[in-house]
Amino acid sequence: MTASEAAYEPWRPHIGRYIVLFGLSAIWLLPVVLLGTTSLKTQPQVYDATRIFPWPLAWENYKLVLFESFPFARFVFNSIVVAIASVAGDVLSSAFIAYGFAQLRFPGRRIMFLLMIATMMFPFAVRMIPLFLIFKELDWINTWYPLIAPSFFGTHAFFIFLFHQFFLGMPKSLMEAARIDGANELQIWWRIVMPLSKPVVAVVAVLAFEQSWSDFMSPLLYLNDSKMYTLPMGLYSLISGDDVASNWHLVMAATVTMILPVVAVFIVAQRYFVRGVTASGIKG
Amino acid sequence: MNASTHSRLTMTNRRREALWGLLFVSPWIFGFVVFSAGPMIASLYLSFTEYNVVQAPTWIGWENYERLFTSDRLYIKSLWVTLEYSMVRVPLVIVVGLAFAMLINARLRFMSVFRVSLYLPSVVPLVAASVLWLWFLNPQLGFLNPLIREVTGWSPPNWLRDPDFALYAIVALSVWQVGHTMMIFLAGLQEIPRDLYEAAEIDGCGPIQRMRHVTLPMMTPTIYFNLIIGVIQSFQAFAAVFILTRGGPANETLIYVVYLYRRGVEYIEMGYASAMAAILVLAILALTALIMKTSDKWVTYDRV
Repeated sequence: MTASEAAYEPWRPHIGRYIVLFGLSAIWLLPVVLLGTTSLKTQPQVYDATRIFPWPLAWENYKLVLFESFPFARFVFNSIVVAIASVAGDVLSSAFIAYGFAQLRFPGRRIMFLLMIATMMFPFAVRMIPLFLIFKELDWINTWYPLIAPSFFGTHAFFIFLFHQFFLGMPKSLMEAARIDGANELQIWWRIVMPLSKPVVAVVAVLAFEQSWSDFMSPLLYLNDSKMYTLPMGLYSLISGDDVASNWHLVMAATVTMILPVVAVFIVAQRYFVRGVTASGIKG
Repeated sequence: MNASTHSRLTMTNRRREALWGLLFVSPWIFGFVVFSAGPMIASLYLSFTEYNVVQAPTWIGWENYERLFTSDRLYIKSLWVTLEYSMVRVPLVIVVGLAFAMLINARLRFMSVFRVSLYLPSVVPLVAASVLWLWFLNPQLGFLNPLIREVTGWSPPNWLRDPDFALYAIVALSVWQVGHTMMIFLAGLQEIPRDLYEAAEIDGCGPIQRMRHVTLPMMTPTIYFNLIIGVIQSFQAFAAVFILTRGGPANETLIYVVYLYRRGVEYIEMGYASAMAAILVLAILALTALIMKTSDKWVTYDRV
């Protein structure tokens, strides 16, 4: 018996709690299970809504959605490109900026930090119209730049905040020693601080990925050529078409395609992810 | 080394540090000016103009604001819808989130399975979750209504198309994605010192009294945090409503940002939409300030 097993309480006195939890979990998972099973139904089976388990499994739905009837493979590719670029931007810029706030003293530091935190309160909708006009002026409509470029300039205050808290906890002597050895701040940041920051990099990368992958409003505003669509817009265009009614099996296959990478990342990074979300309280 | 060279050295060191510091935060300064503060100031300016993108903005003073509150019945409607949505959603998410967190807060076998099950839906991107909901609530081909019909014989409403139910169907989606809130509550619960419960038990408190006198007071900071986040989120709600109902039926789900989007992007009334944005900022600031002001009456920060 391992130490962690030894710490379990006996389950018998908690039987009522188990029953409630089992029921709730079943209800909460039901839509996800149905999503999976519906995505494997053939079209006639869609009309038999209460038939949960389809047979035979219509794997060809995914082929149809990804390559044949709909260009979801393209949307997946677009989403991956945009996500990689904006995750890189978010991680690099947030870590860079946070190092300045956490480790260096300069005039205006406090007020800037407060302003940065305050930006978290203002909804995107407030900046939406001028931003649209700026990107239009730059001729960036129908490109991915509006979805990527802001990430490189510390626009996600919460990520800076996470790095900031982590950097504050680092021993000052580490950086002092490097300074005495003649390293400049850029070298200290890149060679000493960043290699020690893998846990926060992981948290920010996961959250930034989730944010980029799920973002709906920016693509809705800036993309109108379906070739450029990321997955949320691809999915939206699929359900706003006329032929949805009887094609729920295909819509569900597309939805699974969008969810799987997020769930995969969630499973791989679960420990970091849950901790990061717990610390933040902010979704995406 | 004498005193004056020493002070000169620290001066140059300080200067150097300040320059490095400004270099490190310069991307943020740029981003703040171009992507946050600049657009917000521009938005405030535009709110006093009429602007359809084709012609240059023309200054019209307070006209947009007057129109919002005097002649635009849809705007008043959207304010009410947003308020109703928040007042139903926020308490529900807090109560369910806290209840779930208390259920999963025990070192019991298989607890991690339950935790993951209840948390998983909140990992699903909102657009995907909305599309899933769209199918789930579809009266003929979805899952819920055929099941209800089969089991009870009662024929349930078309949730998303029924003015009496549509807003609550959207709230239900929020409650299904309660996992994030639940996890924050779980973290709060795990910080309550065990000896408080032991002391309460010695004093003869039963489970309900322990909850009333230990758990709830100790959780007020976390409840407060989730309350503020919840209100801010409710006032920003967009994707789920846009996908599920587009503001309908009969404008019963015409939530604030959906109406703002419609005016700004679909009718290209950029000035008018900007006035709505300004009111949105004021509303969020006012509500947050209100919650903060009342917080010292019910939030306990003292750790025993």
